[in-house]
Order: sequence, then structure tokens, then C-alpha cells
Amino acid sequence: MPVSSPAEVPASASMRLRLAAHARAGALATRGVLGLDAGRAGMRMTASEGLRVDGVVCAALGDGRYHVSVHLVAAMVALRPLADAVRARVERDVAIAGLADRLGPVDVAVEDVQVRTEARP
Amino acid sequence: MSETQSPRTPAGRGAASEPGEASSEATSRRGNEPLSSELGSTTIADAVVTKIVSIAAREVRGVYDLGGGTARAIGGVSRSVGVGLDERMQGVAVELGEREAAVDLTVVVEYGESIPQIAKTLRENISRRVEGMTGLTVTEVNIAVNDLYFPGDEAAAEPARVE
Repeated sequence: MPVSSPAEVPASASMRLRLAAHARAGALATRGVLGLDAGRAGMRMTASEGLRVDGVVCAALGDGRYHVSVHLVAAMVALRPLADAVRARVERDVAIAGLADRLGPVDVAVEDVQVRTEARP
Repeated sequence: MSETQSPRTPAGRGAASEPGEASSEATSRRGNEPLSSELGSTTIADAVVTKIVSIAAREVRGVYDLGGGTARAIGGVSRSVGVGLDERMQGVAVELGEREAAVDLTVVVEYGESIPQIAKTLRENISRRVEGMTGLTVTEVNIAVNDLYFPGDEAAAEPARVE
């Protein structure tokens, strides 16, 4: 089942899933982000325990932290500042959730840009 | 990517600028920063730059369409059968490096317009858009004028057989 909010992820869920849900919420809350992109095959996602966070890949680093990749669809704005803003927002939201020490690097991939009136396929 | 990280202090980081309001000065300054740091990397897909180039090219007066005859024919067929090919990708090829981009463009121009002037405006507009949005430096924009468009070229719509 796709997750649309961190509140839908139980506290007992895996750390990967919790981090991915917070990263997704943080990215979507950033001005200039129109959506997340799971790719044509839908493989850019984090799944665990019957739940799925699309557009975010969360991988264990081996030292207790997780490498997060956010794949997004952006509006027609300056993309590097947008990526920095997404990274900062994800870090902030994860820190507020008390998971900052589990967060590793946050990669941001702009997969597509759209004008605001354009419908997603 | 380095796996040895300094402790994160999100609260201590400077507030991120609003991306939609980034000034051109700020954008060009940031454009020279590396795309990868210990905090993570930023990736911009080829399709993104292709789309930016295509939109920038269509903003130029005198450009009727992009793509060669075959690409436009395939685009027309795909549109008519509802296949989700993005016609804005046709006629544009980009080559991306870490900091630079090169663009090849095939255009159809309207008859009566100055081709050298259109080419100059295309180069300026594409460079400005790509550099402004991605921070990549556009090293070259190669333009091939593939056809001329004469107003009235489209097949006249057949009159309706019923009223």
C-alpha cells in the first residue's frame, strides 16, 4: 500500500520505511517540487512490511545510517537551489522526527520538469 | 560519495533560498559549485535538459517546429494514436557533462524570418534558460534548419459533412 504521509507509518515499522516517509513528505513540502517519480517500472521506491514509499530509495550504509535518494519532478525553477532546498527540508523533517543520527547522504535527482498546468501521465 | 560523515546539524544550517525566487546572480554563483558533496549529490536527468532546451527554442519568434521530417511524422502518429511520446523531445539532442552541456537542435523556421537572427536568438535563449535552471554552462548550440514553413502549409480542414 502506498504511503502518503509519515503518520501512516507505525512507529514499529523499519527505519528505512520511516526515513523514506519523512523524506517524501519533506520533498513534497518544498516549493518547486511537483511530485516524486518512481520511474517507468516503479522501482524507485522503498517497500517494507506491506507499505511502499514511491520516489524515495533508502539504502543501509552499514554503519547504522541510511543513504536516501529522492527522485522528483520539478517546476520550471532553478534546479540546483531547489535540490539544496529539498535536501535541507528532508534533513530538517528527519531531525524533527528524532531520526537525524540515522540519516546519511541525501541525493536529489531531478527526473523531469513540468509547467504547472501539465498533467502527469 | 564519502561514507565518513560529520555529524549533521540541520538546525544550524542556513535557511535554503526559495528556489522559485533565485536571482540570476545567485544561480550563476551556485552553478559553479560541485554537484556532489558529503551531504549528497544532485543529479539532473538528460530528459530535463532536453525539455528545457525544447521549451526555450519554442519561445523564439520564427521557430515553427522542432525536429526533422521523420521525427515530426512519428510525433504526429504517436499523438494521433495516443502513445505517450513527448513531442517536446523531438529535434533536440543534448550531451551533458559534470558542468557543461552541448546542444544539437533541428528546427523548422517560418518563411520570411531571418535565419541568422533566429539562430542568434536561439543560442542566447537556450543558454540563458539552461544555465539559469541547471547551473550548467552551455558550451555550444548547433542548429540545423531542416525546413521552411509557409503559412497555409497545413492541409485545410475538410468541411463538415453534416451540420
